[in-house]
Amino acid sequence: MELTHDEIKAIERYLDSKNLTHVDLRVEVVDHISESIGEAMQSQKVDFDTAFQNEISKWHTDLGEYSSYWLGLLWVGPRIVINKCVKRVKVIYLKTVLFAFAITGLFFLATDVIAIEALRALEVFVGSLYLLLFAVLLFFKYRIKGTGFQTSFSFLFNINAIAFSFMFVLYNPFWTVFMSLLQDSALNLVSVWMHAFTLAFSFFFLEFYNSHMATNKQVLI
Amino acid sequence: MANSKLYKGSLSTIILKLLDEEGKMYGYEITQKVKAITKGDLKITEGALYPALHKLEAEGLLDVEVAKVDNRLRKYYKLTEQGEKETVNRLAELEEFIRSMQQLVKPKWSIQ
Repeated sequence: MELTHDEIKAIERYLDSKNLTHVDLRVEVVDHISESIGEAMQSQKVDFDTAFQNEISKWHTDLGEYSSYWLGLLWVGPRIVINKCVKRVKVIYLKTVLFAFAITGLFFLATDVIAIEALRALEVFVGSLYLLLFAVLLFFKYRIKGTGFQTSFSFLFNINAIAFSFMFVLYNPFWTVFMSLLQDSALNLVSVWMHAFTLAFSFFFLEFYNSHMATNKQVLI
Repeated sequence: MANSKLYKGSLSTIILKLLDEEGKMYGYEITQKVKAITKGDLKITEGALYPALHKLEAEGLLDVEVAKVDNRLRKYYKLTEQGEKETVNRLAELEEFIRSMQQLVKPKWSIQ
């Protein structure tokens, strides 16, 4: 049974109360709840309110407030959103951590053959790249904000952009001594790992941005 | 009712198989189709279905298409090229698993 405009609005209001504002998930939850209510109204001959209350009870856990260590406990949202984000960041962290160890290993093996001048030049490159990436983050943030809605991808973008903006600006090897690739004229492997991790993770901001924009195109039909 | 825990590990394979047969499906449709095929034995909950769909999408096995249906948007899932290949692999793995399980629970006795 097809629901009326007002009945769909009632579902939307319920999802607003649960802070499910992430369009990529909200679209399918609205559709799922609508279909299920329509089916119950037809097969069980119940009214909208009764079917709606029955349906709400099924979504109680998935739409309940939730947070995860993986994203930071301060970021609270519906469980369905947080779980989707956690699954994504787990894979991203695994890839970036492994990449960072691989790069650090290569630097460790090449310690004796890398000239100090080359490390200084690399440091200037990394410092400049950080500033460029910071500018790109601000541009992406501006474009995402311009779409006027939130997705699980923009949520991931925003929570990570805050942390990485600090990395790009405050931990820039240009002016932060302990992030320098050189320490007492020797290679600083901890710094190499940190820079490799930060740069590898930066690629995923592009993925979050592209996925958000793809959702924007999908829902503008 | 069958023990849903037994199906849990095969949920993504079930979804891939259904999409392979139907072309494209939306979330609620998948739950109803599974319920109908298993005559109500297996009811996929919302809490299990959507994480599984999102995982398959993140792995690049599913593609998403949004269409306007009635007075709301509907998200359809369909297999990508990689998803089609993965479906064949996962079904083969599942069949192998079923054969092994059959041998374990109903061994064929023979007198040599």
